[in-house]
Formats: sequence, C-alpha cells, structure tokens
Amino acid sequence: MAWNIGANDVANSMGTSVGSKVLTVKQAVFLASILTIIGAVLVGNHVTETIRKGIIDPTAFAGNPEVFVYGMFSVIISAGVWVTISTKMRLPVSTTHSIVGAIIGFGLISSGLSVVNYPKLLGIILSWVISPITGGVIAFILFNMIKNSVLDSEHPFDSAKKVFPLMVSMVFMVLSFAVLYSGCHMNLGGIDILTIVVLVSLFAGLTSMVLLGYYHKSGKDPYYQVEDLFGYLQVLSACCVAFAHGSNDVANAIGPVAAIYHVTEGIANGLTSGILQQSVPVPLWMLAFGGVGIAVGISTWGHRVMETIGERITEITPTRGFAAEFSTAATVLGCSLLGLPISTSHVVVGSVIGVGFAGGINALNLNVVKNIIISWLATIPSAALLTMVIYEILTHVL
Amino acid sequence: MPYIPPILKVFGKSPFKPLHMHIKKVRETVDLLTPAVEAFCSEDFDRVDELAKDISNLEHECDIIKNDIREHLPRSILMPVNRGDLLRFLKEQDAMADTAEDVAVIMTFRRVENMPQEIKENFIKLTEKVVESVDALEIAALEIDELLESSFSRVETEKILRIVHKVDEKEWEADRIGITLVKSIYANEENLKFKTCYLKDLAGKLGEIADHAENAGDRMRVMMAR
Repeated sequence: MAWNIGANDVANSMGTSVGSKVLTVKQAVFLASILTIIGAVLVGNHVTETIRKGIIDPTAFAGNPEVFVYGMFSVIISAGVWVTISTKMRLPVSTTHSIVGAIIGFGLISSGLSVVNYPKLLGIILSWVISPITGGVIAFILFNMIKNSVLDSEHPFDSAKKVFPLMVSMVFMVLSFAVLYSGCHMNLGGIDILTIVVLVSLFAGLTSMVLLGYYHKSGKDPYYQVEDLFGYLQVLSACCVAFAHGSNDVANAIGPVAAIYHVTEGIANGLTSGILQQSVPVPLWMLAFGGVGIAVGISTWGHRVMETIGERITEITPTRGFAAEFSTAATVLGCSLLGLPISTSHVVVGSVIGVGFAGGINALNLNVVKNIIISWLATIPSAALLTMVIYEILTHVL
Repeated sequence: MPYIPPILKVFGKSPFKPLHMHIKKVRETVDLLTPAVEAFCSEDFDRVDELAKDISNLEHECDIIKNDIREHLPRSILMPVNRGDLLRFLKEQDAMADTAEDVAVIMTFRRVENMPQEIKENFIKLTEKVVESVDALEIAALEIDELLESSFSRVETEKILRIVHKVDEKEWEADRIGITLVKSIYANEENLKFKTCYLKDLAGKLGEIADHAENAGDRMRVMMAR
C-alpha cells in the first residue's frame, strides 16, 4: 500500500519542479523520499488516528477484538486491490478515498449503520470538496500577488529580490507551525509555538536575504531572471509538498495496520477491554515505517512517473510552480493537523487550476475535474463493497 | 505506463507554440509574393507558375497547423485569453496566407505583357508594404510568449500594442499605394483594354492581405484588453 502511494503520488510533490526543469528526476526522487519520511514521522499522527479510530468506533468491538482485526485486515486488502485495479484501468483513484470507503464498508457489514461516526465522516467528505477549492483559492491569491508585485513591475528582477525573503519566511512559517502544532514530541503552549514560528520564519527570511547577496542574475531577459530566482523557491515549496504528502498519506498505508497493532498488542498484554482505549498514540516507528514504505515506492517506481511528467508538463515555470505548490502544501498540512484524510492529488489539481484562473498557465484541461469527481463517486461504494466481500470471506475461512 | 496522475491530465496542450509556427509559416507564404510579383512584372511567367505552386504548398502547411490548433482547443480548456478571441485571431492570421495564395493563383491566369512601367512599380511597392505589415504582425505575435510569461504585465502589453499600431500604419500605407495603383491602372485603360479589370482585381486582392493583418492585430488588442 505504502509502495503504491509512493509510486503514484510522487508526481504531486515534485512533478511541477521536474516539469519546470528546476530539479532533475534523480534529485526530485531523493528529496521527495527524505521529506516524505520526515513528514510522516513528524506530522503523520493526526490523520493516522482518524483512520484508526475516527471513522468507526473501535470501542464497539471491545467484546470481540478479533472482528476488528479481521475488519482492518480486509480494509487493507480491499483498498490495495481497488487501487491496483483502477491504476490498471488508468483511473485517477485516490488511495485516501479507497481507505475511507473500505473502512465504511467494514463498519457497515460488521455492526451496521450505528458504528459509523457520521459527523466525522461528513467532515471528511466535505474536506474532499473543500480542500481542492482552498488550494485553488490560495494559489489564485498567491499568484496574483506575485503577478502584481513582481511580473507587473518596471524591473521584475529587483522586485523579485524584494519579495523573495518574504516568500521564504512564509514557507518556513507554515512548516514550523505544522511541526510544532503536531507536537508529537514536545509539550508546547500556544504562545510558545507562535514565538518559535515567528522566530524561525524571521531567521529563514534573513538568511535568504544574506544568501541573495551572493546571487548573480543570469541571462538578459528579465522574466527569465525572475524565473531563475524563483526556481530556488520552487525547490523549497516542492519539499514542502513532499513533507505535507507524507504527513497526510502515510495514514492510508498504516492507519489500519496501527489499528491492528493496537489490538494485538493489547491481547499480548492480556488486556481485553483496555486495548481499544482511545488514548494510545500511534508509535513513531510505525509512522517511520509507513514513510519508508512510501519512500521505497518513490525510488523504485516513482522515477518512471516523473520522467513522463518531465516530458509532458513543460508549461509550468517556477513562479507558477511555487504558487501552486505552496498552496498545496499549506492546504494539505492544514488538513493533516485537523486529522482530515484528503487526497494530495486533488489539492494539487485544485491549486494548478487556481493559478490558471489567475492567468498564469497557457492551457488547462478542465475535463480532469469531471474525471476526478466520477472516480471518487465510484471509489467509495466500490471500496466499501469490496471490503464487505473480503470480510465475509475472511471470517468464514478463519 | 500504467498510471497517468491527474496532475498530468490537468495540463492541456498549449495553443501558443503552434500559433508561433503558424504565423511563421504565414509570413513565409506571404514573403514569396515578393519574387512572384517581381517575376510577374518582368514577364517571367514560368517563374510565376513555379512560385504560385510553392505558395500553394506553404498555404496548405498553414492550414494543417491551423486545424491542429483548432482540434486541440475544446470548450473545457482554460486559457489566459478568451478562446473565441484566440480562434478569431487565428482565422485572420490564416486569411493572410489564403489571400496570398489567391493572389498567386490570379497571377497565373493571365500573361500580361507590356505593362506600363508605372503600374509595375506600384505593384512592387504595394507588395513590399503588404509584406511589411505581415512582418510587423509576426513580431507582435512572437511577443505573445513574453506576454504570457509576464502574465499580461503592463510593460509587455504596451510593447505589443506599439507593434500592433505599426501593423495599422503599414496597412494604411498599403491602402494609399493601392489607391495610386488602381488609379494608374485606370489611367492606362486605353492600352490595357480587357486587362484593366484583371489587374484591378489583382491589386485589390493584394491589398486585402494587409487588411487581414490589421484585423489580426485588432484581435490581439481584444485578447489583451482585461
């Protein structure tokens, strides 16, 4: 599962960077692998918790925990099968949607309608609609800001130099906030977090200012100079997306595993009722394991996807890429902190369309939106149904 | 490849690169009118036939690019310029090549010998101006890249508007020369006899090319107005 995610979704974080020739495929694969693992470990816990116990209530299975184990097992199998099938059929299916659909299926067949946490589910489904739109809106605003302050000025390069440190601190603000807020290792109060975030972003901004002093512009064309400078920002924002991707999508792979782990761990310790307690956190090594799985997927298969992308996306330039990637990262990280499992791919598409609406991209094919809606309308019931079948088989065999 | 990520699918085929190829081809087509009209005036009619064939071939190549652009512009495409404006611009741009072909074909219809020197000179002058107007339009069209890159910055927009204005000027000058040409044709009515109307048609068609260049320029103005 993790392998699948890594192989297919690496395109989201690094695709535009490779497309705009800021990074080579090898560099992109390397950066994406590392940052996905870090993201998974540092911020991956929230969404994993949601997958593990947010959608269906594990305490309902306190009496017979093995049902829960079988269920989660069938969830993994069916989501894996569904993603593989639809990948073969070239459908843009989201692993997130498959997992959520599969969990609903298991909940329904094992204990009926009552076990599903409807408000939470509604929140998740709403977030699937809202997150691409949010990404799009942020990207639209951000690109318009770049347009007005840099591209539309008399001396684009000088203006770009002024904006650069601001953008760097913005990126670090979002990153540091996500890491600190998630706080899986530290106990920090709200004010502490704010101070550290402000300090980190100030420091990053100042450092970038100093580094800018050593930067020499290349080429004659002013827009080329701007794009060259923004290339650095794009690398930064691409790393952000990889980080965000790790933080959100690691849950798809290890959420169910974590659920199983908690139960079996409990049984091993002889606790039958306490095992489904809500308070046990997801162990760090498990997040890391998921992250590494994704990274392996990226390194073994991802480069093939990336090569195709590098050839096909030639439209996007660093200013556009940065706007799209930053808004994707911010949106996905926000959702990760809220524990909402969303699809990174869809947020990327939303953000790219946002830049398009701001007049930044030469041609966008809006048909893809239709395809995405169709595929996720199909995914939920299919994954749910598949889980029910597998669950039935498992319970009869075992 | 087993899987096409949605991020890849969202990028459509940009019409602007083929649009560049198209204007370059159109300009090449129109450029050939210079030697063709010169051959026509120096009564080298075999050369005229030959060049007319070349012009026809180039015009066909323009059509192929034009159709390719049209086929890749479905309604669901999102571009920084209005789809209708872009298609109308393309139409006018292509009309320049079409009309150039018309002119070349008309020149093959009839072998006009002993044309008065005055008419010959005006024909060549008119051709020059027409080619200049198309050249100016080409420069404007090639600037579209910078315009898109800067996402319609004021600086770039003004730059293009200045070039488009030059197209207008050339068209106006071509008009003036066209009028002088037609006047000189009618002044020689006695000598030309039945060839009068033929030459007047030819002069009219030639001038039309500059009109299309001006229309294409106007379309660019509309595209940039926001």
